[in-house]
This record gives sequence, C-alpha cells and structure tokens, in this order.
Amino acid sequence: MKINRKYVSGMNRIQAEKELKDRVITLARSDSGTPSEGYLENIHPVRRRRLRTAAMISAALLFVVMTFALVDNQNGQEQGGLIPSLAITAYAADGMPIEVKPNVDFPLGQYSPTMSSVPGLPLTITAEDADQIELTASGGKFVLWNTTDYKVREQGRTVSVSSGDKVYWSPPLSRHEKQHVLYTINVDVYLNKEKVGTRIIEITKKDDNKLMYTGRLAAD
Amino acid sequence: MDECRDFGNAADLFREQVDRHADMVLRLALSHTGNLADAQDVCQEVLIKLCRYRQGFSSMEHEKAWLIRVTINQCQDLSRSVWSRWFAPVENVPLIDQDTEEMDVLSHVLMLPRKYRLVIHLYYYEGYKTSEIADLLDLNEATVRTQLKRAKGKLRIMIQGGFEDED
Repeated sequence: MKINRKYVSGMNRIQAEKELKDRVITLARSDSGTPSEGYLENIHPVRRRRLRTAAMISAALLFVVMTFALVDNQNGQEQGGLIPSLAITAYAADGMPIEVKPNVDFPLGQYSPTMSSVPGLPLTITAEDADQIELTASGGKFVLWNTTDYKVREQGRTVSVSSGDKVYWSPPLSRHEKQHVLYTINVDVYLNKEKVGTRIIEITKKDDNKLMYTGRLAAD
Repeated sequence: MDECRDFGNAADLFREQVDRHADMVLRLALSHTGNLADAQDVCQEVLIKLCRYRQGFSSMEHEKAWLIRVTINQCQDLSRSVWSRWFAPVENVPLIDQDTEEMDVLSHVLMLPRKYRLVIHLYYYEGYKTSEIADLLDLNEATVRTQLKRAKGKLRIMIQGGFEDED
C-alpha cells in the first residue's frame, strides 16, 4: 500500500469522540458566555486540566525563565524554546563531548551494535529543574549502561532519565528497520509531572557499509 | 453563547453539522497542531464558531471551505499565543492504541514540519488540488507544490514506499 493510502487509512481512525460533540452542543445551547460556578466543568477536559495546572506551571516556569534571563547564557539563547537551560551533549567517536546546537550537524562517527565496545551512541541531556526527561526514538532502542558493574539494561524505544544521565541509543539490528536512514529522538522534558518542552534530534545513517552516523537538533 | 441560545429548532440542524464536520475539523487540526489534545481544543472552538455564524453558506463546499479556513486560523492563533509557545503543557493524548503501519505513517507525517504536514493532509486526505490549497492557505501555488514535493521527499526517507501519484 502506498504511503498516501496508509496516511488516509490512519487518519480515518482519528474521530471526534461523542463526548466532544456533546460538549460542543451543550456549550452552543448555553445561555451564558460568562464564567459561572459550573464553567470549569463544562469545558473540554483537556483545557480544564490546563487551566487547573496553569497557575502552578506558569509560576514555576516563570521562575526558571527569570533565573535564566539573569544569566548571560549564550548557549541557552541559541537553544531557544521552552526550557532555556536544556542542553544536549552527544559524543564523537573518540569520546569527545559535543554540545548539540539547532540546525548544526554533529558527527557521531562509526557505530555497529555488533562491533562496538559500547552499547550505543551516547547522549547526555541536562535540563535544570526538570524532574524527568523522556526520550522516544523512531527506531532502534535505548540502553542504560552501568560502567561500574558493566551491566547493560535495554529500555526499548522509550526511556526516562534524570538530568545529566548518560543514555545510549543503539541502531536497529533487524533487517526491516535497517532500511531506514533517518531516525528521530524526541526529547520531552517534564516539570512537576507536566511536559514543558520538546526537542527533536535527527540521526542520519550516512553510509550503510561503514555505518557512519551524524546527528542534528531540529530547530523549532 | 448568546448568539446560539435561541436557535431552538435549529438545534437539530447544528447537531447534524457537528456530526458531519467534527471529524474533518479534528483531523485537519491534528495535522496542523501535531497533537490530539490541541486538536480537540481547536475542534471545539471551531464548531462553536460555526454555531455563531449567521451568514449561511451557498453550498456544502462553501461550508467546508469556511470550516477549513477557520480551523487553520484557530490553529495559528493557538500556535502564536505566548502561552502556547512558552508555557502551555502539551497533553500526551495518544492517537490510537494500535501499532499498525497506517498509524506509523500518520505518526511520521505528524513529525514533519507544520507547513509540510498541512499540505500533505489537504492534498492526500481532503483531495484538494494544489491551486485550491494555495487559496486556502493564502500561498502561491508554486510554493504549495514545492512544499508538497519536499514533504514527500522527507517521508520517503523516513518510510519505505512511494506515492500513488508518482506511478
């Protein structure tokens, strides 16, 4: 089946729930457009949750933004976006750390899961004040590696880490997945259990024979 | 809501409109916003605007085109808002809890830059011509064609396969 057919088929499964339709009808028939005692209960659940968490999140993030504004942090300004203090560090083949910047390719070097001495391509994400960082890959898997006991813990396509943890992304071994040349890693940052920022790292397999990889942080 | 309060017998008509258009609006909003939570928000706002709209439509196509235009404007308002860009938490509402090839393709399309996924949706899902998309998005047709070509190129890299109009 062609890509466009699959897209149409996938999109056909997206349907407005009855609850959403009923809510629209209720709102349309409401005789008051002003907030009342039941106002919060009559709006869409997603917006309701947002409003309820808005004050808490805004206060926390305002503090982070203001703190950041006081510090002349050029790197943070280049990163832009939701979490000014978010920094992503990748590592070249020789182990040298590379600070990842938007729209600038960074070399990851040659890697093969079956030939390397490390379990994957290492990444370190730091986001001050974040209580959780979640990474989701479009392919391959994440691996956590304890270098003291050398135990490798496979995590699948999604992994949760704390700020400053090193995580390894391992390219896929299966024949089907190896056909892909572009992988994406979504980096979601959580503050007080709410997602407050997202970054996307694109990893490209440059040469299938030598298994050379480069990365790029997608701009917003 | 006052504008909608007295529509009385028109309530059934509005429900029909909601039933007829809600899915289309939600899908378009999803393709624009990239996440289901925002799309649901936009869908609700657009349908309320439909209820308030008193000028009538000359045809079903006119009504649909109006909805598409309003949906895109609503999505743009959402993405432009300072709150949304800097503070609003993104609710993680899963699309569909099924790991199928179709949903995989949809997820990849939603990972494209906004301008690309929008033209993909209008062209392949809604079936509009590039000239019609240009009118809807207030763009040059050449720009739409370029965006469509680049979007397809990116998808071909991310997903194995081709497009029917390339055969």
